Amino acid sequence: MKAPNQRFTVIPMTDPSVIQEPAEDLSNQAVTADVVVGLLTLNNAGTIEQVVKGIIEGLQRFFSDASVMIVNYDGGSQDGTPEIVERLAAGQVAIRIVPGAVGHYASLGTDSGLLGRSDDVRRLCETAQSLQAKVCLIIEGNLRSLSPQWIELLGRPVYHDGMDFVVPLFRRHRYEGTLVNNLLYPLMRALYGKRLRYPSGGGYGLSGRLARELIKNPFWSQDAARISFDGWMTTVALAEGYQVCHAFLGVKEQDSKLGTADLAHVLAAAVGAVFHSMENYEPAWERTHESIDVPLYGAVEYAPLTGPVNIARMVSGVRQGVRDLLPLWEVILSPETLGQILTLGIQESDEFHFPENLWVQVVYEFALAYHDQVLHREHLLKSLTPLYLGQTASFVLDTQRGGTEQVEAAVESLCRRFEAMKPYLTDRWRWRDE
Amino acid sequence: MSDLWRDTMIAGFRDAVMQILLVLPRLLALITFLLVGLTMAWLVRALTVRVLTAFRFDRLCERFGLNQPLAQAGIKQPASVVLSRVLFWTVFLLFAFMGVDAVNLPATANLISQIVGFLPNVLAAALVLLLGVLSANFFAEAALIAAVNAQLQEARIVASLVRWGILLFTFAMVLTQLGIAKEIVISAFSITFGGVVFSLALGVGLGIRHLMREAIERRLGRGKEKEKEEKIDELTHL
Repeated sequence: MKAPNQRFTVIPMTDPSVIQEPAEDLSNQAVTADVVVGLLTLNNAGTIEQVVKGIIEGLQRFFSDASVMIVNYDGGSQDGTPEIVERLAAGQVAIRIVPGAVGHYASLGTDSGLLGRSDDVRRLCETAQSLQAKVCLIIEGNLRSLSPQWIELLGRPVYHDGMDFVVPLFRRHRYEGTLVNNLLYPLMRALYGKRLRYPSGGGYGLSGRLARELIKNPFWSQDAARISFDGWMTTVALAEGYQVCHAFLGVKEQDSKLGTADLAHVLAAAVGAVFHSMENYEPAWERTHESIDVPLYGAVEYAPLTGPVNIARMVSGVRQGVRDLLPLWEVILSPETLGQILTLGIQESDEFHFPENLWVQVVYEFALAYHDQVLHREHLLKSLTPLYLGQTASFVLDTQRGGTEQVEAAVESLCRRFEAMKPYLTDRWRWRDE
Repeated sequence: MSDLWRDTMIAGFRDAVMQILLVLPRLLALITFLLVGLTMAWLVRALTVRVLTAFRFDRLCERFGLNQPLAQAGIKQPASVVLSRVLFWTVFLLFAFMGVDAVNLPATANLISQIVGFLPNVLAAALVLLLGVLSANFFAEAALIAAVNAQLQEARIVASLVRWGILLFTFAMVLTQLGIAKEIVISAFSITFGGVVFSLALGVGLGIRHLMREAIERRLGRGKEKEKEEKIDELTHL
């Protein structure tokens, strides 16, 4: 492993010039680095030692022939996180610490991954461009389970195999990520034609080419990037035709300080980002008619399901939605779809069934309503929550007697339905635009 | 006798003709104002409909939830039609008042100046009313969705409380702005609003005190263990 330049070995965080020093300044110093690791931290003293050691070991083991640099974007830690990073990296790897990074951190630690850190990732991409980096890794400082292999799996596909975007897969049980299984994955697969199983992960590998694309992307400041940065980044990679792949990293343990946001909020952010991107990438998704697999690095393992799933509460949620949100759904959904939704309200919990066709129609009609702005967009997205609970309840009831294979088969069947019914979306989208 | 009768008749007739000649131009002015008013009002209505259609005003109103209260008030037409009609009658009435003022009747003296003087209050009140109705719909909708997603069985009651709370506040502001029974409105509003808040405080205090305690405990981090124990759902969404 080569150090890119001695001037960058350690920049003390007390150095005032560092605080506002723009990334572009690096280009004046004629420094290059093959691999840049962006480490995003905020009060991660409890986990940062393991994370930094894992990164350094990973870089030394798997990128011994490359020049590397760690850039730490810290959101104003009060527990000495940047000092720990600086101490651990001293003499080992070139490091640059950017204290008081510009992102807002209210949401750090939630399920939404990089939410609130878009400015830091942008600066990281700018730094990668200045350093002419081939690989740019994004790592969060609160990962307790990070191992050196993560660095290899996120970086190698880009460094050696010409991939542009590596999205991690983690060891999950079959009902982990039901929003992804029932909505995000089938919808994004139908839209952009790539079978990227989990569109966001919490640690990414980017090529220098994609980093440059992200910097010049005109939609950076728009809602899609603001509300779900991970989803937006993935959408850009998919819609712009970059080489995307998955890497299986194993178990993900995260030190979450702020707890998780409520379901409606998470759903509105994740689905809103996809719907919003549909406006920007209309030509890309309209011309896509079939999907292809993406390369996978590592062998996927599943965790066993250890506890029960509360189906009754989900069915009760959809029943209440049918009872109370009907006036809103009348504005969003077509009469035909609404008529079928009404029948869901009278089904018994044990026999609850949300037909695949109906769910696809619902999602597409919500996307159309979002496009037409028939309601305030956040209200529209949050009013989807009871219907999503209904679909999830139906999904669990249909697959609970089987194993992981049955769950995967059900997801695949739903994806095919989304793809088959895509003309339902495109025809109406065009008709409304005319 | 006959001369006196004849002179009286002639004088009366002459006075009447003079009166008619004096009033006739004013009546003609009134009729002209009414005709011009009708024409102008019709033009304004046609122009308004065209402009609002071009800017997709009806879709915008639907988005902001303005159509719902109109429908509840028995108005089935689109918002653009309603607005164009309001403008039609505003323009027509302005011209009609000018005509009435031109007739110069003692009962309607200075009518137009009084109306023009009061117009800013009416406009301000209309603006307050519009913003109030929009806010009431927006926050009621947000409350309804949040309550349904939290699976509160009283979701619609919560939404209605939010809507009528904001509307009550708006109506009080509108009446105060128009200067209609100012003191009574302020007193009535204070009593009603205070009563509602007191009832809610009492209801919250007595009815859901255990929920409040749990919420506070959660906020202080003491309820985390309990929450963990109660968590029986293995399903995660992302």
